[in-house]
Amino acid sequence: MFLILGLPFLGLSLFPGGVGWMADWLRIDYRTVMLLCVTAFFLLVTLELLTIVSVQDRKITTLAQHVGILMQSRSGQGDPTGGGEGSDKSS
Amino acid sequence: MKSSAPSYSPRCLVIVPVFNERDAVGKLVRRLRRSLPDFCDILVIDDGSTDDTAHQVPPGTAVVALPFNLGIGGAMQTGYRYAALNDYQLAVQVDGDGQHRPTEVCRLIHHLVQNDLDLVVGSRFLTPSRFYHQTVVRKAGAGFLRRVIRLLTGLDMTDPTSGFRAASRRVIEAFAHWYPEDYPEPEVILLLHRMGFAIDEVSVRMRQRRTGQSSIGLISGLFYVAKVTTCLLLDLVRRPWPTGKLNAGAGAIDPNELNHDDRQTTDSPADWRRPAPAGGPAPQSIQA
Repeated sequence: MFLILGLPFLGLSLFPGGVGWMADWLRIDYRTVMLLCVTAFFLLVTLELLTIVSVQDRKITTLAQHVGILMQSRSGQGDPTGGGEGSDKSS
Repeated sequence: MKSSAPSYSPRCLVIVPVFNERDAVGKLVRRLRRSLPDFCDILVIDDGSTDDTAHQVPPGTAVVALPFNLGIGGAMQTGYRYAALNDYQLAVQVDGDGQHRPTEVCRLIHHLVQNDLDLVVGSRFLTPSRFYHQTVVRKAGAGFLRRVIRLLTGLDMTDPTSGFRAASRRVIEAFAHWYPEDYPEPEVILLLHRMGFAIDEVSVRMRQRRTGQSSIGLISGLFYVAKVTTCLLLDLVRRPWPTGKLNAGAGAIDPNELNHDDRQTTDSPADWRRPAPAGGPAPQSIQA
């Protein structure tokens, strides 16, 4: 996904005149309009990638929280509910 | 010596998030044990400390050790998820740096239950004090955020950045479902207010930080204010928790309402409630 979305960036970095060529090919009179279209496309791609990263970040956070809670439950050390050894009320 | 406990006895979890607080955490937990009434349990969240903070926690105290640093938001949400899973009716946040006085925890709980509130914030500035000093940057930032929150909600929170808070069961479930990751304190005030939760402040005394390092310096302080202000403005259109049913009472969130966003990555609040055991003890009543 990231590679596919990154291909246009790679293409334009290798062929900086590509925007003008695309404008000619699409019969757009003003190359500036084409440049705006490409900029808008890149912005959308960036936002999409940021959204993906954000969602993955949330998932990793949730997973880490699960791991922490499960490890605590498994060890039972100082279980505040009184289920494990050495509850914090015992001392 | 235990402090004078209120006449009610809901189960309460005191959540202590710590990150590289090896010099303060042991003392804090021992103070909490001495000060808290019997219905309060302590849970330390070690947020991926790189020193031996977790080993400084006195034996017998529950510690959730996160595998890596999640930040204050992620650590606090871990505590709220733990509270939701284990059927706690109340939760209190106490910072691990020792600034929050354990003896003030009961005052927060008492104010929350007596006034049937959802969130009580312990404020350093509700009653002017000559003994608590802030840097100019911190004072200016907090004052600015106070004005922003007043403008957006009408609430005059004198200490919107205070992390010393008590939360009801409804707020525990809401926070278990979603909680801001960075600098969550001012944000949740606005969001909870928009969702119809009852919020209030109570005056508390706090200590000056003596150990560890504050997470907010000069540059990061300015960044903090800019970021939080942006988040507050975005929160005017954000719906992090399902509407409607949250206001109907504890445990009344309809999981079906969570399908509004197919990118939802958090669990249903219903998943964070442990079903009551058959024939188990009835929930304790609260007699204020």
